[in-house]
Amino acid sequence: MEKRKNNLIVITRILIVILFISFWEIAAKLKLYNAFFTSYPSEIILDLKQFFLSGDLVKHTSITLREALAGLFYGTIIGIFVGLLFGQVQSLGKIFLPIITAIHGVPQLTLAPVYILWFGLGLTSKIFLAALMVFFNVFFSTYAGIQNVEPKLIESANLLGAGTIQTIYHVVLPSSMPWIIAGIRNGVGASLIGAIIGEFMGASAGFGWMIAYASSYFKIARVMSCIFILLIVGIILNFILDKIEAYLLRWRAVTRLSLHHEKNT
Amino acid sequence: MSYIVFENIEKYYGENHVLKNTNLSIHKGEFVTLLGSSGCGKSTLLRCLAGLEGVTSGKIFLDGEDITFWNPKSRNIGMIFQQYSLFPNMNVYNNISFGLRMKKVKKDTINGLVKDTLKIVDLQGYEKRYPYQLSGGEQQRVALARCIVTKPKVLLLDEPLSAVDAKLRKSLQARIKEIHRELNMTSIFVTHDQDEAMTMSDTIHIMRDGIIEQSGTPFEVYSNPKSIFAASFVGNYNILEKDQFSKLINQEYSTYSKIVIRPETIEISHVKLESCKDSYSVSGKIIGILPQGNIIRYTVDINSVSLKVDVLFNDLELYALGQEVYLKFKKNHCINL
Repeated sequence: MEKRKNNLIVITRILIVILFISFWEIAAKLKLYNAFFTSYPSEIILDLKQFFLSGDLVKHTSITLREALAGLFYGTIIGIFVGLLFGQVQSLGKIFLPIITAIHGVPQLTLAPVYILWFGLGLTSKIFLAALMVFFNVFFSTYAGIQNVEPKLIESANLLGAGTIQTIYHVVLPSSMPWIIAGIRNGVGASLIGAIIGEFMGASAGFGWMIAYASSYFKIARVMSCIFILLIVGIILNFILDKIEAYLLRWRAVTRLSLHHEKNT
Repeated sequence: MSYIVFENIEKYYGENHVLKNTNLSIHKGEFVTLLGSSGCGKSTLLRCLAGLEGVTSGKIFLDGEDITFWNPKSRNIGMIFQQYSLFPNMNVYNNISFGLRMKKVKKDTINGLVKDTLKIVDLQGYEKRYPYQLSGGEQQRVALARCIVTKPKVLLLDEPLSAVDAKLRKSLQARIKEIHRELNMTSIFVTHDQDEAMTMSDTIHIMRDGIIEQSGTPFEVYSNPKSIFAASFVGNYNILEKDQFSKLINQEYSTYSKIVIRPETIEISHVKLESCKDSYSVSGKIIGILPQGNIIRYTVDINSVSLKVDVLFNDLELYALGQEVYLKFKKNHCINL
């Protein structure tokens, strides 16, 4: 029964997307609105085909993905490390947390030109920006996760002979994992935004550059193609994250909360 | 020679004086209970022994060694908490083997020890289950297994059965006692439940406001309380002021300020009970009836003094509210405090 319900959800979801696309296409073809500003599905598909055949799709996708994934990697590692460090050494946390919060408050978009000045027009400035945006998400989640680790778990580990590193590895890190993963999930989006903002500001390739370029020439179909690809990339990354989460948090009971009391069937 | 010694322990939490010059000795293999109400310092004393809290002053000795300033890791003490505190990310096997892995015990040895311990706590076949897949009682047995598998010098149990239901509590009490007997592991049990303390302990230490109020076997503390607090904490004593007692027995009584009588030592009857030189006989009226399972607690009014009387539930001897009854209690059951 549960499987049937899930299938119904997937089918409904697909139908909604198909209906939206169909409505968009028909509305554009019947000239119910000016399609110049939005393009329409059939035009976008044709553009995607051309985008792919010219070799540009793979080239720009790989550049943006490389920046975003590198940013995601560094931002996650540094975010977890600093979160753990500040969570363990309380005085460090007290000193630096307000400073990090203040820096986080500055819109990264305004700082992107500065990073390009520092690191040049190449990949480094985009990776830095993406990593920084991921870092804030992962750091704050990790720090909050550590604050929420049940103290008795740490005491139990100590009594059973675990040292500081062992306690962090076996108890603190796994207990904070739901929080860390929530931070990484936000970080996936942040890494793509970081890479694309960086490309907007100054680059010669990548989706950000391509969107800026296509917009300036009113190639809306190309802009939409890029957005579509970004959508697919986001879905794939989140799917991978779902799998990683399911594996890392296999020890956690799934909470089923609903405002409606569903009938057990 | 005592196995564990607390010597002049003082503990402050800021301005709050939690342990006040506490002295306590525990013998090897003993099952000791610290009994007291919330906030009396019993858990703090346990945490000081485990090394989870430092003492403000005083010394703690374990097996002849001064462990006052040792870290918890070095003390080889096992502790079970009320909330089970199993590692949620580890299955039963990994939870139980955790202490052994930290001590770098060989894998084969770990397998054997975990298997034996699972047998002791009656959880064979549960190795791969995660804590969320276990009931409260099962989780507490895993916590117990996780502690005893490392063979600690002392097992500390900080209200471990408070979170489980009454029926399960009884069976876990019996299991813990069995395991204690089997392993002869020195155990300190903290509870605020007098029945639990009576059932499980070799020695009970009644604690109040950071001091040990009375120590003794369950029989001693129950039958011979040394203070009003001890009497009120164990045994549901009738606690009477000197004046009340004088009114009760209808004669002047001036030796002590308070007199305590256990409800079950009072004889009750619907026919007049003859008094003799070693007992008092009085009459009164039933003003309260409280069934408590196998016992019925009557409250009897005698000359405006209320007295609790416990009798075994017996269909043949039931009394009604307002009924005139006769009571008799021995003089040596009236404890002067």
